[in-house]
Amino acid sequence: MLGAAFVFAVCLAAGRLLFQWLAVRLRGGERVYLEFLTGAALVSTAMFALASVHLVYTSVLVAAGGLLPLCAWWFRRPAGAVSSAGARLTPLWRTLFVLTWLTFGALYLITAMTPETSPDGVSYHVGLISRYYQHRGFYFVDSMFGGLAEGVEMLFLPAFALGRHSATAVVHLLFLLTLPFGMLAYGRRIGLPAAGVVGSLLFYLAPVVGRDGTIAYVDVATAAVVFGVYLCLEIWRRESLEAMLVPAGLLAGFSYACKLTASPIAVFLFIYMVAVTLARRDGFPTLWRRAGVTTLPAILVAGPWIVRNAILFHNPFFPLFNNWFPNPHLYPIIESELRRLMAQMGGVPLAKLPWEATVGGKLAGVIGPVFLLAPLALLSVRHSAGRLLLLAFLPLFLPFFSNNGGRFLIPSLPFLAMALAVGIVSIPRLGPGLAVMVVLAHAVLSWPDLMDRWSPGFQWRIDNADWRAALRITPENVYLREHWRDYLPGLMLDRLVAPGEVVFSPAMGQLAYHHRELLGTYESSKARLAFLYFITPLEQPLANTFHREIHFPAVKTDRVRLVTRSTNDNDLRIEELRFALGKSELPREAAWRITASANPWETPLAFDNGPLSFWTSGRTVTPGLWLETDFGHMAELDRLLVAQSEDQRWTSLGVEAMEDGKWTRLHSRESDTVEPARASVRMEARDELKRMGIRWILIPDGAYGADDLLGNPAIWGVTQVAVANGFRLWKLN
Amino acid sequence: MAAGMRLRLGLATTPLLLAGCAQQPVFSVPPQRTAQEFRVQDLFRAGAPTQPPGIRLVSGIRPTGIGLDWTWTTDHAALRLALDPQSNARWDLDARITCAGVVLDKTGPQHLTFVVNGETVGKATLDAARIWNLRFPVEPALLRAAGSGEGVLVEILIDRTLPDAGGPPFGVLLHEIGFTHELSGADQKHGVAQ
Repeated sequence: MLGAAFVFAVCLAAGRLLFQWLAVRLRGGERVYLEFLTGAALVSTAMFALASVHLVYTSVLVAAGGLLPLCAWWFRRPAGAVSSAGARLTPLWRTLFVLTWLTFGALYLITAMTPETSPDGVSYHVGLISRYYQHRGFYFVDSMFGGLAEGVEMLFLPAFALGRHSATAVVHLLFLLTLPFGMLAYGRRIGLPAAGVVGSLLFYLAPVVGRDGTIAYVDVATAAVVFGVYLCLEIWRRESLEAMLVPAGLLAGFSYACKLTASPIAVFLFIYMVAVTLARRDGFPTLWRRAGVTTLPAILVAGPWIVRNAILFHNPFFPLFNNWFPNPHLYPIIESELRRLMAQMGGVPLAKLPWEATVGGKLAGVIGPVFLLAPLALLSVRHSAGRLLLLAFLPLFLPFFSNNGGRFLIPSLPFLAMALAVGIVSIPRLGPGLAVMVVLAHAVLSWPDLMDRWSPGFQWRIDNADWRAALRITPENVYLREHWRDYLPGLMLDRLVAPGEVVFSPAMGQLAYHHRELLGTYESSKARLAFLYFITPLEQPLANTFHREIHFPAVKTDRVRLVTRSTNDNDLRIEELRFALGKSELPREAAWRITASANPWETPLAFDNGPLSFWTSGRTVTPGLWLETDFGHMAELDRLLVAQSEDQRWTSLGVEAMEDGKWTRLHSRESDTVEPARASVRMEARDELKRMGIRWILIPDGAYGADDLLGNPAIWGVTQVAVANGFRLWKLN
Repeated sequence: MAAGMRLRLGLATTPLLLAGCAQQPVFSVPPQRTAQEFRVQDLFRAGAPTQPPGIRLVSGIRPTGIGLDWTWTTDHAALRLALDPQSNARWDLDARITCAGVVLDKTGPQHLTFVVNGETVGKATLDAARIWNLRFPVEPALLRAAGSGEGVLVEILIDRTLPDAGGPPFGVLLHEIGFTHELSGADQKHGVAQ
């Protein structure tokens, strides 16, 4: 609690300073909401700077953070432009809002204070933060998670310093608790305060929102930020407060820093601003000024993450767009496979998405049955506010189709909820009564104890609140031991693995409760490579060797390319590539220069004489992928000898040679043989893992490959060192 | 498009273009790996956190100190290892032993005899203070003679040791001892060679 309270106070103070500097004074809940959000954007950026220079010490954070509220008080000045609050709430609506907010707020607070065990939280949202705190700042994590923008996580960092793991979830909860005030304020501004109450509660009570907002995730925070952009724009447009474009831009940048998929709000901001400017005939100089006023704060917040990724990962938008920005850290094939996987969650067909997102739960989380009324949001188009809400909803909703987990609806949900509320409330005569019934039904159906009545089976939602664990009457370590399988294996790693040694861990990725380095199966190029080595002995098509001899008329050349001629949904892998003339192989020379059209960084693995190591293209096979050898002098050859795993036999390969300054395709024929797996293939795989710096394997019983390790430790060349909660720790001999 | 607009767009996109336009990386042929021998091991390792199942220290091997990978033997060390008696593998007895200078200086060269199930399989003379890696082939029939329950009895007999007042004498420093064999297709239990 203390850590989160500290973060809240500091963010609020920073936001207040900003609005004082802008000479804008907001009112009521809107003021808390926008000051907190803009302050969060500033504090997050400041934390980025502190982490970059490795000054993340508790004392520094407390000293710097403690100064901010003092500054806010010291530099207070009379209000400049006082923003009007809009229409007032009637007592009935006020009571409905306050009672519901408090009731669920108490539930949410208890849940957030429970020890943190959320999967993504412990693996990277908090997992990486705990490592940053351990290192007093950023340290390079070679994985897609290490490259995500961590705008919200930068707020977790000071909370973690003061209150450890569950303080981070309470920081996330702050966004959930404040967003309804922003939505309520918006309802008042558009003259429909009842719609503000209904819309905010529709969002606030949604089961997936409650679950997500009470753990150390970032989706609800992102929703709060993107709605903040929208609210700032509305205040700017309705009151002609030019200064509000600054917080709008700041929050648009922060939305990128929170979650890449929220960046469409920046596009919306720009279009909105341009449209309003043109409609008012304010002229191009004003347009340029406004563009600058919004863009500069956005760059201030989003820019550091883009620059960091450009420097560390050679891809400013890492972990996306790796085809455009090739790098050694993440094979494009990982990105494309994840996209395919995430776009088909649970195998739910498109037509069933609305049902599963509201009631069914196969998308991991539901927004609640009342959202089956979502088509009523179309009634809101009678109002200009409704039309605008739906316009803002669309760009934020579209990324859901690239990752259709329930929680990926959250950033767009405030807009849908508000539009739905406007639609319902605007129904003549019946509207207000119907709206109250909808809110009450939503509250009843979303209460955890009652959800089982209408939605049996697993749902990703708040379980029954454990107040004893939240208040630490049940000690944290006892709770974690009893409720979470991955906790004890983490302690086992701390006890038995030396610092700095890498553990290959195909089924446990939590970094939050131990201090060792884990390598999984898909989060980086290195992880995928390790996983492929690990499963090679387990899969015959990978363990068998496919030998190609590609013959062609003798040619004299200084450069040769092995080129793909077909398409395949797999990557191209070459274990060894050799050149021959007649019966003699061309001896490899240190002077040869090798490269490839894709993943050139690992080309030496195809020339190392290692029986199992391989170069991979790291992307799916398309015609024209090449692996090039530059001999440095003219050489005569008539054959290429290619060793691959047997699963590669379906990719057609050809040869090109440099002749007279241009690449010439050689007419070739191929003869193939398959060599059965060598008896030593397991030890070879172990040795490849060791060459990658891996010294240990941590794997639970029942996981893929676990039985084979357990049945054949001697021929793997591994020794079981310990067992914890069904996880076995193997040492590579 | 106005020149000013082009300039602004150019400035805005330059960092992104620079990030994406790295030079084509080129590499040299790496050092060539040499052929490697892969051996299955069933070894007692001094100081290892866990030992292969079925290993039992019988006598003459002192407890290993914390953090050490060696332990003292007496003049007659004995342990049992569990090997599959039906295995057709050509096992070798492998031992990694240090001849301690403090002993060598007092006793002169030590003569070691390695015995498996009562039969001598090899002898070695340790005449220098260093680590000795020793390997002796063992007849499969000798291993099968062990039967199934007790495991294979391995003994080290040392002719010269350093007496210890009030305790057993100091022999050699034992790092590891047990059976190994080169991998062959018959060793596969699961997976590709089924």
